[in-house]
Amino acid sequence: MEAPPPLPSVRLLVDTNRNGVLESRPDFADHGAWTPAHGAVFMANVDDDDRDHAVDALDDAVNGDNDALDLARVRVEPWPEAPTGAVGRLALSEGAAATVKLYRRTDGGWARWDFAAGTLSDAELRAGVEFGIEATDFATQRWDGMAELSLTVTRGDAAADAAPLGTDRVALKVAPWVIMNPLEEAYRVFVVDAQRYRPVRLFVNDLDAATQADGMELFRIDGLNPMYRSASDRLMGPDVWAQDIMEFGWTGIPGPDGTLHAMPVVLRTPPTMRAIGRFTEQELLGPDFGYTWKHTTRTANGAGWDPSLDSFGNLEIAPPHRTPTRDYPLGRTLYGTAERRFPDRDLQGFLDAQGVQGPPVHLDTSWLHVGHIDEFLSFVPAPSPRGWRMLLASPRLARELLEGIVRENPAHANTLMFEGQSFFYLTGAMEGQPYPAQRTIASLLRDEALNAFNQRVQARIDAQREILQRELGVADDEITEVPFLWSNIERNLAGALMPGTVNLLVYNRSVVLPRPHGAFLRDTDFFEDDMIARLSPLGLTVHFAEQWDILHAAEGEVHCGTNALRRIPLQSRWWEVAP
Amino acid sequence: MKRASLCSAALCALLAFPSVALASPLLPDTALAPQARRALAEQVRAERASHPELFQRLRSLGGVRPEVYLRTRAQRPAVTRELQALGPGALFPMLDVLALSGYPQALGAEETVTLQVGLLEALGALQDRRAQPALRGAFEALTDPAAVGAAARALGGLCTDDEVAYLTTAGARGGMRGLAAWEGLGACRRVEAVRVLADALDRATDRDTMEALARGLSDAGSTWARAARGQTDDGPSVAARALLRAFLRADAATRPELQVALSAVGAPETPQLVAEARRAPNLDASTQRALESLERVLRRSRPR
Repeated sequence: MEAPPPLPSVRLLVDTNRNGVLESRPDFADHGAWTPAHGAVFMANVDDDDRDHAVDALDDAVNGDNDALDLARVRVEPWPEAPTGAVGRLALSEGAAATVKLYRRTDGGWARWDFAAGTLSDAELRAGVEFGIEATDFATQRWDGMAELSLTVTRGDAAADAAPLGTDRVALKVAPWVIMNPLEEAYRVFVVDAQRYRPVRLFVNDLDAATQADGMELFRIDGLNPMYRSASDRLMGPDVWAQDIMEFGWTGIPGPDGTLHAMPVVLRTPPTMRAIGRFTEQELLGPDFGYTWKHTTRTANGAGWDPSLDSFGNLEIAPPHRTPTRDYPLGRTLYGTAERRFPDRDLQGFLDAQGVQGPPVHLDTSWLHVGHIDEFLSFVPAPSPRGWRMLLASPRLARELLEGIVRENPAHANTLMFEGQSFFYLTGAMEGQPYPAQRTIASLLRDEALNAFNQRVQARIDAQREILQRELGVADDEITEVPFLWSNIERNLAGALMPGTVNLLVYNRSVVLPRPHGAFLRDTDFFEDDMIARLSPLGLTVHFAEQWDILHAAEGEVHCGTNALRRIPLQSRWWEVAP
Repeated sequence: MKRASLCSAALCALLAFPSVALASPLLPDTALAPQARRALAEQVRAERASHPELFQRLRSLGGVRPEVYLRTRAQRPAVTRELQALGPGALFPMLDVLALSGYPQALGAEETVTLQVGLLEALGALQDRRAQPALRGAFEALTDPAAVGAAARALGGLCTDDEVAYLTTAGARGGMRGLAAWEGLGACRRVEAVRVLADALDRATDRDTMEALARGLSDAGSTWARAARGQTDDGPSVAARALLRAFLRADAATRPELQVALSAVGAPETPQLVAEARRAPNLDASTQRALESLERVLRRSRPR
């Protein structure tokens, strides 16, 4: 058997084969290149292992053994024959220098490496040196996430232009922020609570009952915490949009046991004026729980910036799938945009830069008053080869159902929809001038402007459906239409008239829908029964929550008012996903 | 330090008379002819005497108060539904705020436009011809495209021969008001309005005009609207044929809005028209693909 070729003397070692262990020969092969099949990765160290309420990577220390686990290892391999007086210098590629930090392992722990002044002596080169590498951030529009680390060894007394004794370089890529998808196992549901307000209490209590029945933890964000309320809005009710203020994702690198060393990372919504967003930093950031916040200034965003598009009800992930041309093992990012409205530029740059769940599918939300894709779209698990179904709002179906009700029994034309419900603009005391919402089925079906408007909304949804089916490869029979009518909020922009039952919370095999307040026929709500009939055959437990006053009347529904934290898929191999 | 030096005379005046000094006018005085203005003022005086409560309701609208709208998911002002809920009795109170008195509280720029839009949309929903002078005044005098659009839709909703002619003339003039006029004419769902829009679409060449006309046609030609009022006419058919002709000659950027309009009209013969268009000789590849996409969308939108 032929002996393997000798390794060069000056060598940097990283986990090129991604097995979580540094191995001299296996990891040396092609270690200067990075492809989806090959190349080392490292992590944005954005958790807070020392509980100082700051992201670990922002200081110049390794904050204990737990923090050290978040550093990917880099080793200067021993060179026993290093000549006396030899000096080693490390350098980072220019693009990475502002975002990547290197720590040298010492007897007492770790010390930040100073690339400008730091050198390795001949003795250190002979013995070998261990480093840990981290990033202070994920890839962004300003950094593609790649880092090249090089080692150059020269004679200490050599002229500046003398040939080095040896050089080596390795390529590494920072792990992306991967958005959790609704099929992943959830273990905690979030809601903003403020029990002193009746509308909030009704919703939270229903959500509590649903989650308790399913053995799911419900985390109540204190909506009345002064820190989570802007100085100018202490008189207001709480900011209840738990979906919009944060998006859960994760990041990870290969661990030594063949699974990921990973952490959940919460992305905070960009607008600084949303004080409730502080919750993510105050209560979620912690050991093995990361936090990141992308936002730029109003000036940098320029005209056309719409903060509503920064809300994460406008950022969804289609679960893992395969199309005829490509696999999306981590799912695919869906994002609502409009021709003349756009989200925070730093946020969009960040999302586009992650790569592994893209390229994002951009959906037109210009026809919506709020402008979020979760107003007309969601995904639920399903017992099918794909493993999930797409739910799409359908005013067409709502109209057909209402017509069917009247056809079956003309007396039902006088049945009230939204009986006893009101719209009202909430003041600080959560009180306002109510105006009745209830109207008969006949008045809905005979309202010329409302029907013309809903036909146009349906056409808008159909146009987005065409894009979704093309991009995700979803067939017609993998879509469930969800019936509800829309209203013209203003300027021909749409919002749900009936509670938007497509805007639901999914956790594991359960869904929580807004209570529809539809037509009560034979003592049950026709639209509740209809949704149960559509979703139960998928193996889903269907719950309804009362949320008309606190969410629906303010242009949101259950999904908008909740969030779910899910388990990281530790077998995932994000690096194999070609961007 | 003397108090006078702490604030300017103007600021002190504002502080002393906030309800007067901070009022927000919504429509320039010149928007209404003097005679129409006097007549409106007289009607408002009479209505205020008999129904003061509705005038009072309009003094404090939730949808333009930041502490209210920042709690909604959109986080921006919206007042149309709140005004519509006041019903027909709010006609003169709304005209008073729009054209005579203004809003009695200070409003930011976005809130002011939102209130203009809300008043015009709520007035439009009433379809009361007594609002016509103020609606025309708003259409001609306001400068924000959203407010001008709301005025045009309100005029379209009146749907008289006069209003169809007025919006047709305005549409032909082009510009921001012209685009608003074409879209607003769509609120008149008579076949006469559909024909005007269809003819204009046949002549239109630029994207903005074609899209405005398409939106107008999608409203004016709506089959669901006709089903709601229990009548049928040629409107959907005329609209669909014009939209398809435009679709075939439009560029790729304009086609999506035309496709949405075709789908929104929902004329029963559209699938057949599209199938015939696909069989035409010498279709370029992009048109062929666009028609295939349109065909798929129409197939899915058929009643179950």
